[in-house]
Amino acid sequence: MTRILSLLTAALLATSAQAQNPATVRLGYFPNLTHAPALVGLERGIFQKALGSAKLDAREFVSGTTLMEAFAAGQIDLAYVGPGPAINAATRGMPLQIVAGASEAGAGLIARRDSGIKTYKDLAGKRVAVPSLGNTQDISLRHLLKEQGLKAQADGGNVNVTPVPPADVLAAFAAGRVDAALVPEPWGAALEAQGHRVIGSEKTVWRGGQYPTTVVIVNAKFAQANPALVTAFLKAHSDAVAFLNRNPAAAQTAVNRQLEKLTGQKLDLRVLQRAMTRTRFTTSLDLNALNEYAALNVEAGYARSVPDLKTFLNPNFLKK
Amino acid sequence: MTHPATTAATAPQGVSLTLDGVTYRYGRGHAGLGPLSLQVNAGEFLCVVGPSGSGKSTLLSLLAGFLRPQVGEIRLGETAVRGPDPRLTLVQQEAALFPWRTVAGNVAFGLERQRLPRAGRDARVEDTLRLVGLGGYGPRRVHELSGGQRQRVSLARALAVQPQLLLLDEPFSALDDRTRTALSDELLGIWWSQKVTVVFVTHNLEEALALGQRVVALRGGEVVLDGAARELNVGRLRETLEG
Amino acid sequence: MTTTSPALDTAPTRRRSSRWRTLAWQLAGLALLLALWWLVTDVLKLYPPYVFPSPKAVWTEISYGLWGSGPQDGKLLSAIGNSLRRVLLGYAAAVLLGGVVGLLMGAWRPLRETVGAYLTGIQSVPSIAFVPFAILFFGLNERAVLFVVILEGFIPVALAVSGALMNVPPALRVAGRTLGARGLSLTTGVLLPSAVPSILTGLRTAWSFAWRALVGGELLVSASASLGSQLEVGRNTANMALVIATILIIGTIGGLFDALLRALEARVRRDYGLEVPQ
Repeated sequence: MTRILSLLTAALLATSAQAQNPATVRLGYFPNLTHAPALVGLERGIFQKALGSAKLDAREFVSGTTLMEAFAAGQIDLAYVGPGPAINAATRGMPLQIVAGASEAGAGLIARRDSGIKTYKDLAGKRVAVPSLGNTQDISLRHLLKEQGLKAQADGGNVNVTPVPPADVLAAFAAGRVDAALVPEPWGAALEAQGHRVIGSEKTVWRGGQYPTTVVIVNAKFAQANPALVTAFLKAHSDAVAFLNRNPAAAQTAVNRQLEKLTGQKLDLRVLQRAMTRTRFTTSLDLNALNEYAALNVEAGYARSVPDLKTFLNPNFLKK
Repeated sequence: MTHPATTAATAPQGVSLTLDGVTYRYGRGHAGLGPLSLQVNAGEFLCVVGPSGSGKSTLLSLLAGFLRPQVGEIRLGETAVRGPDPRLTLVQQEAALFPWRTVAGNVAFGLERQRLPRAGRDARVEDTLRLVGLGGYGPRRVHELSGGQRQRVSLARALAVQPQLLLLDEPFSALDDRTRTALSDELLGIWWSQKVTVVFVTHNLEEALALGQRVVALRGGEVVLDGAARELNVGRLRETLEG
Repeated sequence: MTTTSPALDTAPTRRRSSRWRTLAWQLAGLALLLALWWLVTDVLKLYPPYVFPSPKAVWTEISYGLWGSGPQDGKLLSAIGNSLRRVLLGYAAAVLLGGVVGLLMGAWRPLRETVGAYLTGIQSVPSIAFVPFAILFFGLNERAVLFVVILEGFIPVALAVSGALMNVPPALRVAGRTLGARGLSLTTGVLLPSAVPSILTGLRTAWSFAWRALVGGELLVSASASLGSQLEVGRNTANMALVIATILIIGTIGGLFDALLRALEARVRRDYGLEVPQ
């Protein structure tokens, strides 16, 4: 609570003095495989090259929540983030635009090997971890539960949906604190490598795998003041995505090197490989999927209405 | 004080008190008491005087059973005092009433410990309150009372269990002169009607001479004077005490 | 100033009227705060709504959350119910445990000097610091939250009980003993009743500690419906209005319970003659 309050005051102070300095571009992202374009772009220096004289200030976050808080406080100009936080923030009136896609699919439902869970139905009465309440995986889990006729405890059902930071999921499985988890890659593959069972693959979890997992957002005021910088960044973003698709082996090395820098540990190469095959990297934005996602957000009780996503979507920077 | 002592008929008579070579030492630097031998007759009103440090408090603690003599013995009648004794109650300088109880509840405290049946208890409480001039005050809260009334309740609380020896420790020293005089008179009336043995400790020589039949003066833990009150005067007492 | 003292009948009316005046001032203060809030947000628009929402937005969240009839409404109500159940359970256990530990510490000085010092030390650690430990020990569940609530709640009770027992006026102890109370009957008949006002103060401290510990714990273990998880959801979905609504509810419940205990305490203190009635 104190954290929320301090962030609130920080936000109050920051937004009132939101003097954008075009000399620096502040980029937010997570050290996740689903943010691989960011990792590749940073590792290969593509972003900095594209921005020219403007200095790139890249900041890593552990969850969409903290990233969006920084965004609300006016401390982030561009960010890689899940569609959940992005849509929520936009609905609340934050000046953001979704300007490109980054990755699709790349999330799986893994059950602890001794949990006795074999199908979705077995989730009844179990404890299922998601990265955070209201995030992209939480919402798709709630949808999945609903399709199975199950409900989360907070909604009066018997599935205990617990927020666990992805980095802690391995430990939580090892200690038996959770029975299953719907997590983004590479955590799904990492759990699988430890002998835990994939109950829902990236394809079966939702929409046959046709769903955005990471998008690129920009602060609308920043975009208005610095359209050229945004265009240049998105060009670099496209290059990073293209590199990931054209050159998976080299991309893996780049991603792993960047992950090691950020988290202090390398991923097992096989885990990384598997995680990457489950994630599709693309710059395109699927408006239908986003709309469906927004509807699920309402269904899960995190929003009251489906916003008109077209007003938040701005693919024009990418097309230039 | 003209209240009829309704419980007097059933009240046990006072008992004699014997101190036989009683000694108590606190260790180096403290005077302590004794060896002290003293005989108090049944129904006698004894006043003990002495300056601070003379051993009055030690004597009180020993009589009340809070301390045990290191040497010697204290006897009430024929039996020795070993710890707090139901035949003997103490009225302190402060009224020390229990604020969570009503006036009647305070007076009933000792009776409850004696497991007296409810009906008998209530009657005894009211009788005792009447004895100290507080008839009808039973349901009051103690913080509503004046200082003198509180000390009366304290006296009633000690009397209700019908002790054979009443021990009083400077009971009126915190009161104003008028209240003190009134209460002293009442105490004498009660002593007269209840035939209880009284040991009254005070540093006020005039008070001791006015109340007691007999006065014992302590100094340095020893008895330096023991005589009938009517044969003593303040000058003589002061002289002895200042030595 | 013209009180020619038939005090018995004027005093209560005067007291009542001053109570009404206090209430009126409090309401006026609240109205002023609301007006200021409204001015800053809706009128002057000093802050964007996602940073500092208007009173109306917060009211909307409260009304949906408390008496809304939609399929996803009423979450605040169930959160309140769950949190209250949890805190009352934890508080009751804390009071019981604290009472026993306090009695033991009050009865035996060495225990108070050792354990009492540790408890004071533990009390200075913010409750939230114990949550990760509790999660490792009990798992991501209600027991972890209850553990922290009980831990935070029992310490003030134990310290208050033992401290109050130590500070019973010696004259009362003497009076009890001379009237035949000893051992257990002295404790239950004299020492504990005499300690009640101080113990009540401890109970009030314990309540505010327990309530804070509960919300802190629920923030980190936010599986089932709870006020803590409502804060977390509000934060995760950039719903500042929900966050503020939840904060208001947490403050209101904490304050109401505190006022209840305070009234009880005041009544006891008055009966004990510890406060001169106005």
